Amino acid sequence: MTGVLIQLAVPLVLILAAVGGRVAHHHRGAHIERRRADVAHITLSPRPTFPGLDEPRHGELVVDSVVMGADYIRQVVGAWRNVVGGEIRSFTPVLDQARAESSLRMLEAANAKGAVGVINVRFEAVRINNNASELLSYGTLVY
Amino acid sequence: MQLVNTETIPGWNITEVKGLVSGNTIRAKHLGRDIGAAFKNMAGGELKAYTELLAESRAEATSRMVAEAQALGASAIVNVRFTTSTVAGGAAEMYAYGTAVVAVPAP
Repeated sequence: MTGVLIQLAVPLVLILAAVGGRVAHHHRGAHIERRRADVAHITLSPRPTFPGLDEPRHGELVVDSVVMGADYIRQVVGAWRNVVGGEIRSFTPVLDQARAESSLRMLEAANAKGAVGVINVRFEAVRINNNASELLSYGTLVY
Repeated sequence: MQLVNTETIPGWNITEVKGLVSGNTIRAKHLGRDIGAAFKNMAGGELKAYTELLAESRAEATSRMVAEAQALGASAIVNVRFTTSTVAGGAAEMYAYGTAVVAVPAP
């Protein structure tokens, strides 16, 4: 009897984690959209200079990052994709959201310092372990 | 010390180049944090312990780079770049580098 319960408990925990992960993913997406409105006035550019933002001002570096992992179901689908090849669609939205979160934190830091733009923006992704990656955003503040 | 990742600083003239400066640090993950992260990983989402750990390490690498620039008598570092790589045993190396310069406000 105990053996059967344990056998049932393991998949149950995994399913709960996966469903919870899905719901949390959508919540985070909605949260990012709401915060984006507050920093919409800040110019973001990968160029080293930006027309109209070149007045003599004191430049300053801003760096922000986020480490994001994929939920269990996405990991299983991703592992299967590694066998048959092709785009790992289950990971695409996770990295997309992590990068959005990372650049949003950079914009919020810029906003808190009273900057009007972030120029020379660079994005970088680093693998932390099999399921998690760090998304780094950095750039130079202009006022 | 001014840090920018552009080649020039708007409104400042670079009068002297002191050379390349860099700083690095290799940080191992704490076992407790790793176990917590493994549980968190089932549901996905941000692994805050890792975000903080990496941010701390990057700040450490940056401050080592700044210390090197100060020793050279520089007042700013331009073209700052960051790289991260996972090295032996799940540890991460943070590397920050840039060009140390002397910058004065443009007349």
